[in-house]
Amino acid sequence: MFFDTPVYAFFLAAVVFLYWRLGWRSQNRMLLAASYVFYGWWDVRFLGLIAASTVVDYYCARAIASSEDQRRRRLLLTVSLVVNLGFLAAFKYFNFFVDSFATVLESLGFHQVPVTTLRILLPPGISFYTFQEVAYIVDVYHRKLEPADSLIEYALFISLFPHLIAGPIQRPDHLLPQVQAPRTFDQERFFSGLMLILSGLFRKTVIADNCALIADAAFSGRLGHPNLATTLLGVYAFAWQIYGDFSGYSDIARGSAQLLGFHFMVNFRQPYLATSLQDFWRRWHISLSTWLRDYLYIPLGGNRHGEAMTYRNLLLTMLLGGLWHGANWTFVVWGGIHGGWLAIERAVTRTTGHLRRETTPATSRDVTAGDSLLTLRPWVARVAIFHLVCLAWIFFRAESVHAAFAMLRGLTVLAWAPEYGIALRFLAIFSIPLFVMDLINERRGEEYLFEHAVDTRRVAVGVGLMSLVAVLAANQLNAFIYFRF
Amino acid sequence: MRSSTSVSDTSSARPLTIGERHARLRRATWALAIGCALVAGGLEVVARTGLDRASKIQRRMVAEYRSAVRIGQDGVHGRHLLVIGNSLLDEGVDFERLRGSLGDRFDARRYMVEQTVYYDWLYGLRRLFNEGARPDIVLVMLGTGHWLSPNIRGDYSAQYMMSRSDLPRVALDLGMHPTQASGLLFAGVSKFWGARTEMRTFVLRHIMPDLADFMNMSSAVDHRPMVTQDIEPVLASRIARLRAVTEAHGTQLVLLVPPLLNPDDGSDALMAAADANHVAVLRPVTSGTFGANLYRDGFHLNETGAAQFTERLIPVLLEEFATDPRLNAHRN
Repeated sequence: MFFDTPVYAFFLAAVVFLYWRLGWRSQNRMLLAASYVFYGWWDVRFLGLIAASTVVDYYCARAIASSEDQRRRRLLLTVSLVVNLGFLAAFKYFNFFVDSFATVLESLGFHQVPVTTLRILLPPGISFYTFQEVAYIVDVYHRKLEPADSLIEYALFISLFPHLIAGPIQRPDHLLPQVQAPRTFDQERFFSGLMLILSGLFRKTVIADNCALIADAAFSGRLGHPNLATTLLGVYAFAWQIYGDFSGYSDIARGSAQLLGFHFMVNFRQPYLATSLQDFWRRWHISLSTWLRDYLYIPLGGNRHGEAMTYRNLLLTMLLGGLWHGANWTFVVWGGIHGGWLAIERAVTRTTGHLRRETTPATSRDVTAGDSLLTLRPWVARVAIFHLVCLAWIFFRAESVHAAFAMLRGLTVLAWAPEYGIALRFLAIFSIPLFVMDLINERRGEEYLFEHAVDTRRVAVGVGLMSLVAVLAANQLNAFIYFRF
Repeated sequence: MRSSTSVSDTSSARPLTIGERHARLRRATWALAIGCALVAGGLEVVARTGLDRASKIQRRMVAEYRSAVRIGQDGVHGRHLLVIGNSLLDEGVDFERLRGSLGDRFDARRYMVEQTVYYDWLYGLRRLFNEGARPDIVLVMLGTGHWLSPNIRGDYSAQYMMSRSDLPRVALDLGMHPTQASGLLFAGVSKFWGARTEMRTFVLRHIMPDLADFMNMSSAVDHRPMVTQDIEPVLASRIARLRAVTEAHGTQLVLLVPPLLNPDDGSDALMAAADANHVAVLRPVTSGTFGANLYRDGFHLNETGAAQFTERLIPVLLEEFATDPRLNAHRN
């Protein structure tokens, strides 16, 4: 069920109502059942998949933790990773690799290569819960984490419904202890949860879904052949659509978790106010970027083996991060642009003597305090980085690499229609409010609008957001963009 | 998030105790929940009492619906002709001119709902009949693409066109995901939920009066070619289902093919499928006959186009009703 539908509202209300009337262990059992109902609502057949990978990981982790035999531990780790990544590869990448292999053969002169592609449904959230499972098993293997004692607790850690479909990807050392200990009802956390849900609904249904009308029209060619106006309209609209969509989803997920007494990590911090691409990745999809850093970039060697290897690792990490989003070369190019520019940024900052240590905390306030909003130079950097990110979004959104290049070639074609002006005003109406919200949140260091204001103002903001959602939601049954990843 | 153990409040001089802070937060939570409920409830009241009056389109649609429900039951003489369809009917037929030409022999009424397609009318007609409509003839004006559409208008249809009891069948017919199906069921109960798109459109049209120009430009058009042997079986089964609905109430079904700019409109398949079901089809103007100057947007006729099409339609309609014994068998 989608977060912006009535059925989810009823589901969440019923779960929260029952939840706080139960004892801790009953809460866990009830939440696990609710999470499986939530997941089965998509397609009952996928329940077996998540249950199977959960059971395999649970027992592998316990066996790894109890063993001192390094070969056995490594074997068990391999089994777990093969099962998890095997499911992911089979369901998400099988056709992609078969098609790509056939294309390579054809380019080498082998014509009419018989390929077998399968019509496979992509289980929702498989990329997210697989990464969570991998993090768990790797942490247990490195003895950074004790394995879960209870299968129910581990299963709940993997399947807790607010994060199940599109994250934020929860770290085992953050969420598992919360599952393993009794939650206490915190009035502030509950209230903030409601505010986050309203904020998320506003971002998704008002901002993202309205911007999607323009982005979809531009990228599907309904505004005419690509030209400067349609390309800029399309990519600007998509930039705000995907930000509103995914940050809105994350807010609703975090808010839903808070109603149940859990805390999820922050996933977005005003990403379009980033002054460098490195800064952008400290603000955008933080749960993924930190996962990639800790479980891919650093194991690859990070920056410990010289500059050339560091650039290679950066590029490789972002290429794989791109491929994680979907089985399409467009995502690989998207990752390549980000990885390439991160390497360039690193080289430039190194030569100019401003290299920051890799261990710099992943917080944004140290980089861009609210004061920098009032000076010109950071704004030049912000505009430049925003447009670099937009360039990459073209590949992310386009149906194919060919279509993306067609959009880019459109930048050289000057054309105008009166409807473009209307679209621009429409886009302004639905994107500027999110930009202003980000400025206020950045300035005040808040997660949602007026988080630190007096209660009456917070209530007024919440009711105002609800009113805007009710009246201006675009009312499309759009799956959240990241649900398909 | 603020600490729950040490708090201060700008509205009071001394720091609050934890108990006081919790009490305030509890009140704020209730205020937020009640505020949100009031917004939702208020919009439900507005939707139920104000929307159909405030919006010109809704006013027209509701008036036509009420008139359609009474057809054949309100003592008006003549053969009862109900013309249904979407914007192709609205912009393609000068209905006042048509009604005037049919004269007193016909009690002709129109029920037009924009953006509607086959399933809207399959279940829309079921509801009309269930609520008492008894037309002698139902004239359906939909493009072949609309006949083939696997969708409905959405939550609006659930609220305005269909019976609540039919909604589970609609969800099954359309192969809806449980999330969509539950939304549809909710739209059947809540007028706000069913009409929220119209409310949004109403607000946006006041903010941006020219928004419709962009929406027309950017609306999705299905450019897939219509292959007769592929679509004819689908059309035949759909026409058969619609005919079953009308015949169950002794009503004759007649199809009217709208004139499109694109000559490959699939209407040959539609006519063949109708013929196989013994359903009369009227095609006063073959698609591709009218020039582009008679169309407003390459799809809908403009006023001149509508006037010309209506003039061609009237004699065809009169001839059909004069010669078709099924249509002449006037029911008392």
